[in-house]
Amino acid sequence: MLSMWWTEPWSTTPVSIQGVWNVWQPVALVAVVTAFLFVALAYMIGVSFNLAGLRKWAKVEFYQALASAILVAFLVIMMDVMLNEGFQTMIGGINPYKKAYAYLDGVMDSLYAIYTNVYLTNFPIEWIKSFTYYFNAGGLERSPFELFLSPIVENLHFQAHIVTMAAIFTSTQRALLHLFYNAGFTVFIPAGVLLRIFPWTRGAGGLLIAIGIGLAIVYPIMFTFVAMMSENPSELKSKANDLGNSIGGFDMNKFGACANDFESVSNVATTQVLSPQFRNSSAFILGWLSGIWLKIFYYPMLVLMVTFAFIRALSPLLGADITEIGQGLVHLL
Amino acid sequence: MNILRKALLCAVLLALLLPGCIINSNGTMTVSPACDSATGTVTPEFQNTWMSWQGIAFLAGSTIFIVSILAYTLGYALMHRKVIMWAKEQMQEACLSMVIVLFVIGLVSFLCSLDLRTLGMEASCICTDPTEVYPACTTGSSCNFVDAGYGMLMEMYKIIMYGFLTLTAMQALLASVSTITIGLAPGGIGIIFNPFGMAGDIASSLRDGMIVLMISAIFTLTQMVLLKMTESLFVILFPIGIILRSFGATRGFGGGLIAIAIGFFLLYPLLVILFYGSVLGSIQTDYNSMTTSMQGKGLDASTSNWFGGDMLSSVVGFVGKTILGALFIPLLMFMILVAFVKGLSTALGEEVDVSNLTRLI
Repeated sequence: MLSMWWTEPWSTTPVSIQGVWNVWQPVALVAVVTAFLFVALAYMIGVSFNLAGLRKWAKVEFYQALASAILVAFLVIMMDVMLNEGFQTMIGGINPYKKAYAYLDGVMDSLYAIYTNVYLTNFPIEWIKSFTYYFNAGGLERSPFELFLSPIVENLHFQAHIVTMAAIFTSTQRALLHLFYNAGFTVFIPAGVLLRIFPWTRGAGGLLIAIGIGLAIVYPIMFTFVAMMSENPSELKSKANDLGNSIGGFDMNKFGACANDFESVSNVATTQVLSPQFRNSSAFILGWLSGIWLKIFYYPMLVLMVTFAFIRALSPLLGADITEIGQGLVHLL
Repeated sequence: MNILRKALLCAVLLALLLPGCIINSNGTMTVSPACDSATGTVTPEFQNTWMSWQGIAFLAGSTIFIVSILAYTLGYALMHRKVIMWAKEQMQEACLSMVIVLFVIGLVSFLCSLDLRTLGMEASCICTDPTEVYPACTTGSSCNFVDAGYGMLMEMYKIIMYGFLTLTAMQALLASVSTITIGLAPGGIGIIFNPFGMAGDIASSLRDGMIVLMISAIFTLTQMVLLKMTESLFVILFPIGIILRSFGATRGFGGGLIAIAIGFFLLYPLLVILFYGSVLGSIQTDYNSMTTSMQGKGLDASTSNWFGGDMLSSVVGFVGKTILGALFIPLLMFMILVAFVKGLSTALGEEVDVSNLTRLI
């Protein structure tokens, strides 16, 4: 089972529907046939012993078995839609998985570029900031650049932290997409169909199917729409590179870099820090953040919320009542 | 809490005290797991416990039969249809309880002795280091579903901790480098520089990853404890459930206990195998990729890529997947488990609203 998640990413090798169906076929067919056998057996016993209640129950279960068979047929169609040409035909050359991978990979690339540029920008600034005069006789030391460079350095540290957390969050989403791309149709949904046979395990089976459909179908489709309505991630990458290049034109002299007396330094603290130039510089450094904020937090949260809302709505139809659990999940989000 | 609930709780406590075999001479409770991983069978302790309980369960069932027969006779004599119907219903429920006992004991015996390797699931029985891992890994021993589940969680925990230690070492190194200063002070007057101060920022990024990995390790460890605990609790909860289910007044509650016992003992390890079997290999790959990347880059500060995107991609690739495995997947598993317990408890008597626990979130 450990080798299950080692298939090539879709972006390089499309998954063959026949290959997926080879895994699916025996499990799904066994599940459906067992469901019908189970119902038939119950009905036969009901007729043999003249148990009206059992016959009635068997009739209800027959409809559930029928629903399982229809569900399997629907999922086979959906596999074709999602993994082969179906979705592409419907909305014009777009495969949801490919689009979702491209979106998340684009965001990751932008974040890596930002991180590298933040690092390269901060390196010389932090180095200059550490410059210290040392006077042993008086027990004194003074870091003249600390006063005005510290806010910039701390700002860049904060950005590096945000980028790290955003990259981890994005990586988790990519892992989630990858898991359900590879295991959604081959493991989770067949297991759900199998559990759905018996009334006692129908709730768990229904929920497993709902989670499988939600994360293997709705999740990538939502990313497709998000990707379609947002700009190219490479623009953000170029913004990040602008930040790295901008340090060359940053005139530190304006901000008291060459100050050698207390008055000049205090002027920096009282006047220059509040100056429009400094505010503009800070705004420029933070500019990239507003550009990517929607992509790294807002859109993915929207996608997750829609997916879980779908799972919550679908579960009761498949036999699982997760109203309370769903509320807990939304609280967690 | 109403009187009935209090009475039920008292009944549970009383039932817990009844089996002397699980209370040792020191007054502490020793509960044995149901499955013996070394031999691949049901443990003798479980059999002993069950044999002690079996008598009580059959006594309870027999009592119900006798009461039902008496009620039936009285109802027949007095031509009271409601009494007759009640007596029939009680007899059916007593029979059903006995069937449940036979079925579940048979199922437990089957699953405990089922070696997953015979089904071609060798990889589920993690065997990378037989001296370290749970006995499931010992050469030649059986590997049942609980062993396989526990082995997977153990492997997950190990990967997380290896990753944590790797990041800790790198973080400590970089934090240390960032404090290096170079100075020159002839005659007591001079200058000082901190040329590698920026390394502290990289160390901070690694610390972010470490925090996530530590939380993930705690969650995984909690699951491991839960898995072993539920295996042991099954030995208590299931017999109590059977006895309580034999009586009309406590039937719902007993059914709920049976559902909880079966859900956590049987379904939970199977879900662990299903979910972790799907992600563990990929997390291991990302961990290897991260360590290889760090080894390859070395500690040369001149290779800026080490500090930039390359380093970040290898770390977040591993940490991101770890979040999926240690935090997100348990969430899905517990949703499925709660749905199962709800469904089964409804079928056995009374719906146990385990989902109320999610309000704690």
